[in-house]
Amino acid sequence: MKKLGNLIFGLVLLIALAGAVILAGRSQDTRKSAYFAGANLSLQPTTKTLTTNEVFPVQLWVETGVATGSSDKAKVDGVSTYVCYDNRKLAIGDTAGVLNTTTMVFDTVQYVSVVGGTYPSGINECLRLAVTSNKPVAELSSGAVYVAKLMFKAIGSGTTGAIIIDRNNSVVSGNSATTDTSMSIDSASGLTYTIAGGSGPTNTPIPETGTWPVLKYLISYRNVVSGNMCATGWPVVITAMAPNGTKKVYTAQVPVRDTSITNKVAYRGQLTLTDFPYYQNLAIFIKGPKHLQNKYGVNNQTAYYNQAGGAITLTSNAATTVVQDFTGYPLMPGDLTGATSGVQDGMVDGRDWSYLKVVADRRDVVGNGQYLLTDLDGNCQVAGMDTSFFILTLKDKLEQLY
Amino acid sequence: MKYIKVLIPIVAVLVIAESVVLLSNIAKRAKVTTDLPRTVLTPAKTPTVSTPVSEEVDFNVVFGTEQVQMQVGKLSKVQVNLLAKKTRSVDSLNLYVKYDPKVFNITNLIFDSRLPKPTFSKVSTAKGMIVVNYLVSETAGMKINEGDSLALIKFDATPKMVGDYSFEISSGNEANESATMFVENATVKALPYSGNKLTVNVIK
Repeated sequence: MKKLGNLIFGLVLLIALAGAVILAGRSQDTRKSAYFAGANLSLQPTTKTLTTNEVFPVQLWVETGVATGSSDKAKVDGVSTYVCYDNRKLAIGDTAGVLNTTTMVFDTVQYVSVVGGTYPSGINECLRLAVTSNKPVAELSSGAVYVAKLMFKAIGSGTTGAIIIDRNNSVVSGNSATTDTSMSIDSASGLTYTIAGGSGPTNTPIPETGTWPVLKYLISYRNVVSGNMCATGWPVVITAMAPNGTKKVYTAQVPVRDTSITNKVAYRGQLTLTDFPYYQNLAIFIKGPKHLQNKYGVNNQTAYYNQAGGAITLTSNAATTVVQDFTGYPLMPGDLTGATSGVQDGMVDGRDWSYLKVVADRRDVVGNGQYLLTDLDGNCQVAGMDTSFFILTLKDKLEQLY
Repeated sequence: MKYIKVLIPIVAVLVIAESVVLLSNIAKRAKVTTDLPRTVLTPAKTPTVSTPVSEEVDFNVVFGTEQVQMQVGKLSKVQVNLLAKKTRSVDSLNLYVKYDPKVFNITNLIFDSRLPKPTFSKVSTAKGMIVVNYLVSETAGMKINEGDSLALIKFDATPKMVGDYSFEISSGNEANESATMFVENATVKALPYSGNKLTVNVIK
């Protein structure tokens, strides 16, 4: 009997230990560094009836739960999420007003952009958004917090659909007494809508006047001075961006030197923005063949345009549309190569330097009017000055970025 | 009695197994803790530039130590070294160190005298990045021999709050900005490197 008792006692001990091993593994996963609170993301309103071309606001909200080890609800300082929709039925409106710092706790838009996606019910596009607050902890909010205002435009007709929040790609962070800063997204609810009228979806906006906007522009290239005989015929890429983020790219545009302008070396061009039916609040991006891309948001811009969207207005009448003078903020040379030799990658970095240095050491020269990628100032030769120009661009660009 | 004799070693083995599970979980958890940023994470969809695996690298970019304890309000020295695994000539060295500006004040950047004067250096509190760009003017580039160790940067870090944080060698964001890069002379190739992380435990 005593032996049987020992055996049972031993078995119980074994089972208890095995259980402890399993529990130890599990409990670690829910202790330190797990989420410090729960949060629910939602869109308001939850239902909406629309008419075609109606622009409507959708509010993004987060509701935080009680923080671990506290009786208070967690304070939120950042939200990153994807709000997704069917781009045959809806378009994104102006993203400039995502935050209103007088009514919202968040004060910084980390990024807002439109990206593709694949979701059920034909949802194929998302507004990718991240906002943060740099306010002191005491000023952060908890509970139900208004995160952002998103503007949508109904472009379909006689259809229904939904706007959803991609919970798996959402993050909510906040202030906590522990080292944990993330909240678990317990739920994410969207909205459903009905667009009245018509018999099917359409996403072809009607041009304002039946033709297309005309962009007349003046640009300049940094370091190019009068008499630089190879600074000619440089093709640029122009990208027009509408307030809703729609972009249209026009390659191989060749602005021509305007010698009537004598106080600077300016190049003039004209481009009809075919298939781009937008006229107001535009941004124009211009990239030279050896230059970084510049963003122009206003006429007569003289410095880096550090804002979302743009404020350029165009008309479809070439005779009356205002010439956009961008010469005050010249294109900066230095983007010569990327990982593939001689193919630009949109940046100035050590690769461009190395690429330029080899040619500068050889002191390559070409005849008047010819093209040499590493000739940054268009004076038909590559020499020490070009390396100095490169350094100037690198410093300026890094200063802009950081 | 016979059973007890059998049970004791089994129990001992189980205790050891439990200890191993516990310790490995604690280690795993500590790593996740340092990975959690103070603000918003980049969504999983965002592509990131991966750091090449260490077996294939030409350089290791490492902090002087992998783990350190600092005190709130007290200045601590941090150093980032380049250790050459192979002999290479470079035309440029671009270093980006990620840190949390809410947690640390970074001051007093110091550069190795064997390196050229940096073309650009800045502590960006807006981006949470320490940036140093060296460009080599010499035609043949700057030769770094296998086994060489260079201090790419030294700086002072003063923590502002208690907790576990990290400094990290940045391999670039989605726009490929802030990518630490070493470009080989003549080939214009970005040489493979590995970068580590400095885990900082800040106490009162």
